[in-house]
Amino acid sequence: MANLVKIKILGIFFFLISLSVSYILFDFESNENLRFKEWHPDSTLYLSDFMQTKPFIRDGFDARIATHILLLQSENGIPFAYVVMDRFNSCYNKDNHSTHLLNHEAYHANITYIGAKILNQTILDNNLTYSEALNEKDKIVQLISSKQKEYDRITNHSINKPLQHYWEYKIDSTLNFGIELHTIDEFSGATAYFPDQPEVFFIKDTFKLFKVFQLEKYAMKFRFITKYDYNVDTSDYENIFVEFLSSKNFQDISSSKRNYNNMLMVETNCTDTVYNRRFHDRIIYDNNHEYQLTVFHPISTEEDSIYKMLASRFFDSFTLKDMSNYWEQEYLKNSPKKISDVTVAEDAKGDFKIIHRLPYSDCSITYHKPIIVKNEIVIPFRSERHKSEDIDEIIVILNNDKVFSQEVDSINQLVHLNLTELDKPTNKIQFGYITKSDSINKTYHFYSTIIYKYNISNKR
Amino acid sequence: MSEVMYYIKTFSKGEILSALFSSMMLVSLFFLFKQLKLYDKYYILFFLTISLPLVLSHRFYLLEHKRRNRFIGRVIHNLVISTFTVLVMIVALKIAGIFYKIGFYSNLIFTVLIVVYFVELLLTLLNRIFIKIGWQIW
Repeated sequence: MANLVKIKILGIFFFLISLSVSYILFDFESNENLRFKEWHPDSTLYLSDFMQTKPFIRDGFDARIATHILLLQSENGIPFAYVVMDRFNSCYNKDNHSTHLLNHEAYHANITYIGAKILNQTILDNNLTYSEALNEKDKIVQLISSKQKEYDRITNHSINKPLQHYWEYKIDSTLNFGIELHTIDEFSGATAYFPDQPEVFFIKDTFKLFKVFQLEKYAMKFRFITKYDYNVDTSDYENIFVEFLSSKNFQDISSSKRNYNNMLMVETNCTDTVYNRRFHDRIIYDNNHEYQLTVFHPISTEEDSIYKMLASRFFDSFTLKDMSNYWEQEYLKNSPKKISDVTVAEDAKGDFKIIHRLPYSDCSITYHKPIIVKNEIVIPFRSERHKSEDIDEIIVILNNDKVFSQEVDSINQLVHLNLTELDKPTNKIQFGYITKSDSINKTYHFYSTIIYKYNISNKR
Repeated sequence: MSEVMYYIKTFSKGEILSALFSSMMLVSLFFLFKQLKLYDKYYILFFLTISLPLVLSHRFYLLEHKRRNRFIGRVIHNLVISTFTVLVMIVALKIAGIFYKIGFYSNLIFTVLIVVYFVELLLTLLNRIFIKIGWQIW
């Protein structure tokens, strides 16, 4: 008996040593590196990030994510908070997962990121030490944890899709609060509110040049378009638009025309039967540009009001800002490009062939009011059809008579003329550019049709 | 006296030590073979890793009590082994930082119980055969 006891005790010790040998062979470092993924709102969540084995007995959750706020003592002594996803404590149900669910989990991490952002701001505002920051972190973690619960409760763990989308919108808005998103067209000064950075692109063909800000998120599409030089006859526009929508199988079309801050506005609502979604549209005209705000959203029988609310929030956010100050600063910041008179022989004037006539433009331009800096009229524009490196020179034609040449700037072209040149009551300024390829071929295509009329004496 | 009562009445430090021995053996062999990637090639090793500690535990019982542990006694004894195995496994997995591979305590308890009792069932059948041919190993 005593021998057996000894054998068992010796065996236990032996197996303890054997276990230790296993630990020696184990790579702790790479295992630890695998555990945490630094989280940023731009981070992508993959299914492979959910490394924890899910419960064998179902507990009602199809996924769960663990995120933490960590504090780092930076070299300059200021603590810095960041967010990590704990892969070893995040799991999902392999039999029931979707992109929608993954997105729901990603927004849990984004809520934690908001906490880290608040903490970093508090550290900077109050000049907190590391231990003070730790105490502050505990308070913020409590707050964030209650928000996480609220998020799950209200969205019913992503099952209630409209509310899930509303929360995503809300979280993005909070995340981007205080961050300057590129949502303004610096030429027209038009802007609308986007909760996240929209995609910015141009729709351009021979006949149109539209600058588009578009955000496709929350199962919605928010689109804001500036149409440069798009001067259409607005008298019957409402009916034309309705007819166009009818031809595209849109149903339940309602349209109205009204005044909006002294501008004409056409508002249209309808149902897109092809993609089974609602379409809300608002077209606003000022004297020079047309602005179109569009929202598409899914048809939801339960929570349609949520999407409508977000759409109306988007429409109401539209503003036209005065960009004069901005361009004035741009002009002063970048030393003005040399401008010189070009003597054009009478018989050569006809070589300036105008490619596109109004109402279509080649450039992003500003119109609203003349920008006068140091006795110079400054006209900002940007070529959207050609890259600046493909442009040979900027050409300005004043009153169909004087021709000025100006060097090409890198992105924006700031045409400037001395006010003394504008000696007529109404002055007509044409400006544009000649491309390098055209100047080699000696066919002076003048790639702009912008005609800028001022009665400077009245505007000054 | 029923088998259950007999096991409980004769339950001593020896049984605790046997169970601890078996669970330590099971966990250490499991970790070592896993580390050496032997399970990938030799599947039988997995069965041996579970069955050998159980067989040894029952063998100790036979030597200490001069009678083999009956079915109900083995069921109870396996419960003690499973409890120790779960506890040792938790500590071992947590130290290595790989508890996520099993995920939850409930998963670990469930797995250990299923594996131990399934192997025990196979060992019982094997023991019956051995007894029939006159070998009493455990």
